[in-house]
Amino acid sequence: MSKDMIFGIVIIFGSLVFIFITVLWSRKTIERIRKKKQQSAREIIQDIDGRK
Amino acid sequence: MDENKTQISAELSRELNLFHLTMMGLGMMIGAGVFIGIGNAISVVGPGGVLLTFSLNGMIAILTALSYAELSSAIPRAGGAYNFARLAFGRATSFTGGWMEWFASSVAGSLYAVVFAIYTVRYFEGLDLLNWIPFSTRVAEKIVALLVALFFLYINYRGASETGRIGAIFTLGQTLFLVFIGAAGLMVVIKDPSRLQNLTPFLPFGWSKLLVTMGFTYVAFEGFEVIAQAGDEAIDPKRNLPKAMLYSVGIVTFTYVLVGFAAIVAVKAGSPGVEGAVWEWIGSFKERGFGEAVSQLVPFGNFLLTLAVIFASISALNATIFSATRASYALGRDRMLPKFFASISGKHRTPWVALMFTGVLVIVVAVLLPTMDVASSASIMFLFLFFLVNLSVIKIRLNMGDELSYGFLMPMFPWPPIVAIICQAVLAVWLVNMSPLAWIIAPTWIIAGIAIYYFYSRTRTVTTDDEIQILEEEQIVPEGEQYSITLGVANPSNALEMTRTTYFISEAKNAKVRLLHMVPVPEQTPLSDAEKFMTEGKEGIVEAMLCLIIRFPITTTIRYCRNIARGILGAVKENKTDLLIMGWHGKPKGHLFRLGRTIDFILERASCNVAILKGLGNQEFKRILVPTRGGPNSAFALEIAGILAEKDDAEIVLFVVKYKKSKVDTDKLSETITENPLVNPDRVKIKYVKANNPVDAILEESDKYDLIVMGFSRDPLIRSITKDTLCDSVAQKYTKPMIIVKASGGITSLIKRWL
Repeated sequence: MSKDMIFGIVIIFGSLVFIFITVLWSRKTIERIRKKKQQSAREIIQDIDGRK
Repeated sequence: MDENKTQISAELSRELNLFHLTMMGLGMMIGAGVFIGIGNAISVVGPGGVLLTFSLNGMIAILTALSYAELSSAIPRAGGAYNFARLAFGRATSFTGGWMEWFASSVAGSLYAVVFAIYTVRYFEGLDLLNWIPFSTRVAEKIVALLVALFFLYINYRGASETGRIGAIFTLGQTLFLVFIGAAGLMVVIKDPSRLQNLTPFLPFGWSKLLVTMGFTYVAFEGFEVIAQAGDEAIDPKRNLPKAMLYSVGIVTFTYVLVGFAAIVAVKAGSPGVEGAVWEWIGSFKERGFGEAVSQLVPFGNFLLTLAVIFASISALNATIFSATRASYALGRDRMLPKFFASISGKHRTPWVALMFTGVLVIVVAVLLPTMDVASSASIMFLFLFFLVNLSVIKIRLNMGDELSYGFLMPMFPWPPIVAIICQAVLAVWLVNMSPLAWIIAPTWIIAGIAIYYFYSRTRTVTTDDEIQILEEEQIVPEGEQYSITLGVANPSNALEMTRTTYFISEAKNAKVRLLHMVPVPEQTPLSDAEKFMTEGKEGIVEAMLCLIIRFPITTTIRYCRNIARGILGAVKENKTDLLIMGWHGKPKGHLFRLGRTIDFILERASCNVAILKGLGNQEFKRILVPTRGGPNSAFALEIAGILAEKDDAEIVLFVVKYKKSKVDTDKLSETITENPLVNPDRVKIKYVKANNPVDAILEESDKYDLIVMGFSRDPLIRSITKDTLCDSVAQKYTKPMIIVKASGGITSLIKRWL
């Protein structure tokens, strides 16, 4: 296996994992915001930071 | 106005659920890019490069999808990029957004027509049914592309657009077919692992070629943005729109990588007709390469693939013509393009003029340009469009984050849109290697749009409710180059508290003063009723005017707005104000803002100097404390303190707290005192202290003083959202009179704050 191939495979799987995690995280965030019925960006960020 | 009163509001029924919305995005994306992209890309970057192209493009697309998801969760209305740009940047940019969206969707439509033609002609050619035609295959493809485009233009004219539900079923079929091809590819490799040799050499021409293929296949990732257009028809749009966008990008990326892999391993090296390396053989067929490879993978592969491509391209073609027509119709409706663009056919109730112009665009591009130039032109225009949306998400979060109700917020803001902007800029630039023509067409279209806006649309656009308008204005002082102060007046008591300080500053600066009162009008209230809300503000203006007018002439303005802070900033910019003075009554209890909704926004965004006065009244000040770290805000704080000290014969103490690794430039501090003509150096003393907590040190010292004048801390907004700045902490705890100032930092400061 060439270096290009190893590096390329790592990038391909890394990208797919990144996309997968982003989608899952976003889904979780959407549900969290929905349950809390939060409004503005500031309120949501403060809730995520645990400052509220 | 009367027309508004008698209008009966209407809304679309909400019928599209998460599944329909996701399929809507998928249907647009799996339209052409993947079918023509694989064959073309493999000849440029080799087998591994194809897989890298799709996975990296998926990553960039998901970053832009995060921006679309956030914006459409907060503004779930039809309009997409046009709406977002209008909120973020105003009319000129929104026109450019709509103009680009029109072209991008039309060119994507051309591409789908071309792909439909390529695969249909290829299939009939394979059956030897085209031997009789007297012209070449290329000409046949162009004729088929023209016919299919005309057919769908007619369908759209008749208004028989396919519904979300039927479209969703078609799209599901296409996606499942591609997944089936991917699964077949995996099965083949499991049976015959030697097929993995087709992946070598992984990148025969190196990594740099990747940027080229990523650029022209990016069109395969456009389509999720159409989900934003369905805001008025979606069930629970705040939740379902962002989810559908992210799901669709996730699904297509996995599908494309899988299908790309299947195409590479589909062909057995050395089998009859396959000469040289497999990737070279697939690449030699260019846009037909994917079809040739898949036809060797599964029984009836050729037929099934042709069927899938036909369904994919016609559903995407129909959707893009619909989307492009809607974009140009919206521009006509808002009078940004001539009124006739908004003409509706009396018989079929469809925007026939907008459709006709869209049709011309689709046909001209499909017939006259080579396939790769069509794909590159579509890609480049979508890259520009996504670039604009990524900028909009940053601007809207910073400017309107407190007003909008979000259903989704992206993580690590603002980095995803910034990274997406950089990547998209690189891809757009690199596309010049693939299609120099695309780089002539796209900028020409944008420049033409800008010219149309400035020479035609700017003076004709329809004014909307959300724009600020002057209710009443009394102009006494002629406008000139004099220093200009705007005094924001909320009510009579607030006006009286500020008149003394305003008088001293305006006298020292030889300034003209404008009294400004903003009348916030709720969204539901018609503009004609705005005057009902201005009684108290009018009293405040009269009180302040009575105090100030005996000393110097003033101008008074009352404006209505939907949001006070943005209204004030708009007035300040319009009137070229040098200094904005406002009152503050302290932080409301349990409030989420640092100093207050309006004050925070103005301090963060104002383009002029700002002075916020708290509890000053009419008292005299004999000892003034100016906490400083030597920055531009501190210099301005000293100037204000110097003006007040001169009037009240007061002493000023510059208070420097050294803590942790903080550094203070003492030479610069001395210069600040000596160089400002409004500061008498004899009145100023400097005091240095060492402390672990600068807030406590300042508050302890402040007991000995009548007034604190303090510069606003210039922390970036995102950091300051989660952490109070030094100035905020002091202001929240200090109970005596205080002035918070912020100096205008010019363009450098503006760019820094943006970044």
